[in-house]
Amino acid sequence: MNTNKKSDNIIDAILKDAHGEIEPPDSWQALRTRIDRKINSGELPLPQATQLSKNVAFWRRIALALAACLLITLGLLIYTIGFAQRTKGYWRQQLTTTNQGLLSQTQLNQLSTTFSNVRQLFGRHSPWIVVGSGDDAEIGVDGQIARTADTSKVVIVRLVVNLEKQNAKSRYFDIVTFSNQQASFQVPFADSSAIDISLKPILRNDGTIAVEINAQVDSGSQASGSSIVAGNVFTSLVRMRANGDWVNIDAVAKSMSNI
Amino acid sequence: MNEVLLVGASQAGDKAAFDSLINRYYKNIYRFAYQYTGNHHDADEVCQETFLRALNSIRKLKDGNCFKGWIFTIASNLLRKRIKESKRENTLGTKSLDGAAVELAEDKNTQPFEMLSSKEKAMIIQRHLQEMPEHMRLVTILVFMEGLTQKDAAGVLSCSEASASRHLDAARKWLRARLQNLV
Repeated sequence: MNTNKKSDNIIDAILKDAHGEIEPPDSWQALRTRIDRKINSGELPLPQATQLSKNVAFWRRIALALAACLLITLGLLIYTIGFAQRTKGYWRQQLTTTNQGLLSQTQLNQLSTTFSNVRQLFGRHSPWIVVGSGDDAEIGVDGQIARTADTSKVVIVRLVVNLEKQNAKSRYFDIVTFSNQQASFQVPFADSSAIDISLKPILRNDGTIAVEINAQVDSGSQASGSSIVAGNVFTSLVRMRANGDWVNIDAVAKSMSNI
Repeated sequence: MNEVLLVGASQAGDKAAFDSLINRYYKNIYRFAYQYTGNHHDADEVCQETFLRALNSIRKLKDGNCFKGWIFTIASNLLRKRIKESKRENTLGTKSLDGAAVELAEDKNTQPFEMLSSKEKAMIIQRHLQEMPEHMRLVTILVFMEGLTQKDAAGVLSCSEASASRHLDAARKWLRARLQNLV
């Protein structure tokens, strides 16, 4: 402790001496003259001018504060709009995802025309097409002479295949085929499994559409049924087990204009 | 003449009284500015500016006894402003010791103090001060070198007396660590 005290005293003395040694490069007198000159030149604004500049500074600060408030408000507005857009975009994206690959009304109309042409080409063989929301599509022509197909009526069936599992997304399929004509396709889902679906829409005399379906998971569990489906609300066709989870297959159906 | 009277006379517009106040403190302000900035040019300008500002606002000083602390506060504010500006412009920093001083300080830095001249000691001290953290440096200059009380130094630095005391203790340890082998 004493050593520290002694050192401190010596350091204090050195500091004071060192401080006392500092002087301007020319002389103290020269510095004094410069101070006088500075004061006489009065480079600083006069008190009145200072007051004036204080007022200016005050209003400048107010203006800056207002500008800052405006910026913050603008930022919030942009953020709010941006957020709303993003949210909207999110839902739009969701919608696009679920409907991805599905056919628009224009496309369906084009298909009706195409089917008409195909029928003329293949005679009694009838074409069908399946477009899925997972970027998959199948097109085929009935391998056998489709005696049952009502070749003047085209039916569009929209299927939704829903796996009852957390985070599982529903998959949508548009099946365009002639009434009474069977379309067979495969719906792949998790774990490399797939459901083979055979589907036949039947346009009835009263204008309603019945859909016959046969679904089989990996040549295992199987379900089949026939239901009259609505045109605007999904109707359950079958419910079956697939690898321990429940799979629901629902549908809506509409008939296209006569061709 | 009593300092309080000089302040009073200056406030009443007595130019000679203000001159006396300048004469009392211009060396202290110059040294303070030099120790802080490390170069004569800035010290010179800050010193001039300090007294010009003091003249323009001496009417606002309520207690004549506080003139010393008040004038150091003006200088301190100017110095901080200048350092801030120079840091922004990156043209001058607190470590802008004059070139000759740096060379001399480096040459003599390992010799015991008793073997050095006063000027050489001053340059070495100056160099060490420039390396000291700013809050410690200011309080060291004000208290150890200019003889201000801790309370006045706290006023100049706009901090509490306890903070000033803490900075002083830290400065003492810092100086001891660097200068002990030289003293």
